[in-house]
Amino acid sequence: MLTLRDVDVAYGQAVALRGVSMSVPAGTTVSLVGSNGSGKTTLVHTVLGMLKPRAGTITIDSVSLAEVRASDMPELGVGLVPEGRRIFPHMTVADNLRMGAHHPATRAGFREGLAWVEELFPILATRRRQRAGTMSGGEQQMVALGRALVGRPKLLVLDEPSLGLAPVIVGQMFEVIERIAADGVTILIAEQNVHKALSISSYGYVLDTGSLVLEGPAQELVETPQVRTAYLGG
Amino acid sequence: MIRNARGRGTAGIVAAGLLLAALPAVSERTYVLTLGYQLLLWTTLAVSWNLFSGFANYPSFGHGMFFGIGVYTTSTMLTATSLPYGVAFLASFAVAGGVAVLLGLALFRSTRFRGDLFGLVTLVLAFVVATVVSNTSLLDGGTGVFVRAAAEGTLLDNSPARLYLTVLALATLTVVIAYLIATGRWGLGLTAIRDDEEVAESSGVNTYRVKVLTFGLSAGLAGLVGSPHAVFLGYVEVGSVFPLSIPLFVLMMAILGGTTTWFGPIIGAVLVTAAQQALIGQGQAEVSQIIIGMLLVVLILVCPNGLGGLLRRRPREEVTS
Amino acid sequence: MSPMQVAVLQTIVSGALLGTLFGTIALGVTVKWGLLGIADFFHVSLTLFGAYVTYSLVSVAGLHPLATLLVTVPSFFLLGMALQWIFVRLEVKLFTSLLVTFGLFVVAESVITLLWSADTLTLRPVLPEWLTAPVALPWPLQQVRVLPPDLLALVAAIVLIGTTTWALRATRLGRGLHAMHQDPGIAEVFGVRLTRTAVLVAGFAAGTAAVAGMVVALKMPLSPHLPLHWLGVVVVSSLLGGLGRPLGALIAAVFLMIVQNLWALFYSPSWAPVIAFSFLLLYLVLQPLLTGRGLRSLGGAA
Repeated sequence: MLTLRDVDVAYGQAVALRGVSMSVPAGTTVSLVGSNGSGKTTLVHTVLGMLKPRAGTITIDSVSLAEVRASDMPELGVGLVPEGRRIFPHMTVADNLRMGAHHPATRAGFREGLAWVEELFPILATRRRQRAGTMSGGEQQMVALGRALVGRPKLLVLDEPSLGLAPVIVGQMFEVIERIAADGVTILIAEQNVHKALSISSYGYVLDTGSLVLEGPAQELVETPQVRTAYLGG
Repeated sequence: MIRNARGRGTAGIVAAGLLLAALPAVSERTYVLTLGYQLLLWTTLAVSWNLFSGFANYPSFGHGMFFGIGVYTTSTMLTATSLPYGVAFLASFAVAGGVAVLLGLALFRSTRFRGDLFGLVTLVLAFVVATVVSNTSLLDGGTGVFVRAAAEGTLLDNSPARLYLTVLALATLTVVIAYLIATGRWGLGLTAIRDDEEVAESSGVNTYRVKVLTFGLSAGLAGLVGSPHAVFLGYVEVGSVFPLSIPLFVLMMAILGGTTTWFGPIIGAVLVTAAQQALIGQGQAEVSQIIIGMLLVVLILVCPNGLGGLLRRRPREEVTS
Repeated sequence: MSPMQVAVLQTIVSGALLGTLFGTIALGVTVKWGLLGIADFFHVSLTLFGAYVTYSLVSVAGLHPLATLLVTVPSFFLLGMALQWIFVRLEVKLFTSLLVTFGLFVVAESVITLLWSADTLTLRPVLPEWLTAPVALPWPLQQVRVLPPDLLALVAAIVLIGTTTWALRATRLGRGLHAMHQDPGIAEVFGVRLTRTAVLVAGFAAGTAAVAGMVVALKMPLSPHLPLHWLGVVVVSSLLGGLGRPLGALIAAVFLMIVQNLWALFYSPSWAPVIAFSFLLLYLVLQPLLTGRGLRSLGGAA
């Protein structure tokens, strides 16, 4: 589904990603873990076409991203839940969700997508007219997830979905992510909450200061001493 | 050591001023003196604007208004009272500075009056002042004021050489003030406000006081140079004292020359005035106004950080990760 | 009705109709300022430019006043798009845009003077009677007279501001524009074409300036310094109505013009221009007390 090969990304002189190669096979859930500042968000933004890599190739369903505008990502079937949610605060919940099917390629499936989202998050159906900026953090995360899902993406990219949420809400959120995966959506999840992320993934990558330092099946990765000491606190 | 360096810098600026004071001895021609007058007038306006608006990054569209307040203060005092010119001169500073201080006291209470909103409020106030002036018969009343006769026999006496020397003295004073501020503690406070007002406040700068006082000084100097300008014009009317082209030119001069240094606006003022004079010499005033305006617009578009910013390599755009 | 009552009523109606014209001019300003982050003083000059072009097309080329729109609207649309494209390309920030459009505003006055002279020009002598003869309003305002261009201003305001308000609220373009304003990076990933949207909106804004310019040409004598007198009302109504809200700007403009005309009726007309500014200053000072939050928070991206 998603393949990165030797990707380098730089902000001016500062190199943010170095020689990153990874793949997310269709139908799987893959984690990208690493501490704050390791380059996870940079990688997510690069996969979404918001940043252009300096070297290397990224392909989604064998289409090279070099030829795709960021505004055509929905056409490739990619949905994003950005770090910090970044919902449109002054728009209603309904309009935020509609933005998820803004692209002509996803517009036709909006009703179907909306029904699915409102089944996953029944509360959104009752809050359609509320301004999204006035909702609680957990509710905003639902809007962000819903916005990414109404376009019925094949690949869902989640950037720090647990950030700033209460533990109970985080648990619920990960349950929903598992349900989405069970519906056949391929998922790439970038997380600091290593344990949670790996627990729902089949495979994982560890990113450290811009390079991948470790990878493997999620179960094995949890057991490795590096991950235990570095991210799980022993 | 630092005190010494600042002393030498000040002496250098004063020496340059004294050197320029020899111009009337070199040439008595009105054209030469008028050209010199224009250069120094715009230098004073641009440098005084920069004191506050540039150093603290509070771009004001009201500098033409403060200048105009100075013009009308002097014209009114010369025609309506029998006080000596020196009083009118000082009053121009006081009135323009006073208006700015009052405005600053009201606006700077809240930090939302920055950027476009501050620019807008100062512009709006310029309209209000122009309307007040043209409707108050003591000041103007819409008919204009003849200053020429009233200025006869005063200190300036309608003499091009004396006007030139007066504006030269004001330009020197303004540049010295800008230099001392830029190299001193006060300038550090302004730079801190420019960078981040909250950080400035928390690191011990009384931002409110610094902003109000500097704004007042900046406006006062504009008013001060308006005083000889009333005499220079001879006939004062709202249309020629409050045109929008004055704040526009002042802003563009300062920005082109660079707003973070004390000398940037001098360069901008000299370049723009020279270009303007050269174009006016070519013929139609309207055409030259268009050319110079478009030139400035294009320059601002291409290098919003001034000519200095063009020389320095533009840093790559930062992306937050 | 007593003559005084008729005069007051007449003043209110004329003020309101003049307000609809300023509301139409403010439409482009408030949309660009509030949603594209471009504070466009030049829009007001563009309106006058549209009026002069209409004047020439009618008086020299002999076109029907309404037919001039077929020429002016598309060409202004292109002009607005081109200017915005430059702004996008050079990544112009809000304050730089203010400076640049302020510069263009000053230049425009000279350009218009150069092309059409500083003399006052009026279309009135060449207009057909149905555009110049006063008409009486229906009951109960039968004693009030209005001029056809004023009604044209009303129609233009209703059509343009109505369409824009609807488009901003309920169309795909409107949603995309709001999303782009609140978070351009995310909006783009969800399919909003940033440059295309901005250029399109700026083109539309310039097109409305052409329509407003046509009304201006029919309504009043033209002179190059008119934008200077309009700028205050237009900017103040845009701010009072809430940036990015054309309907708010229209209501504010109508209100301001009614107050200003009443003031002119009872007191000195020459003081009237100060009214709009007084309202703005009053609003700016009172606003944090009224709403508890700053004007800037209206527009800040997340």
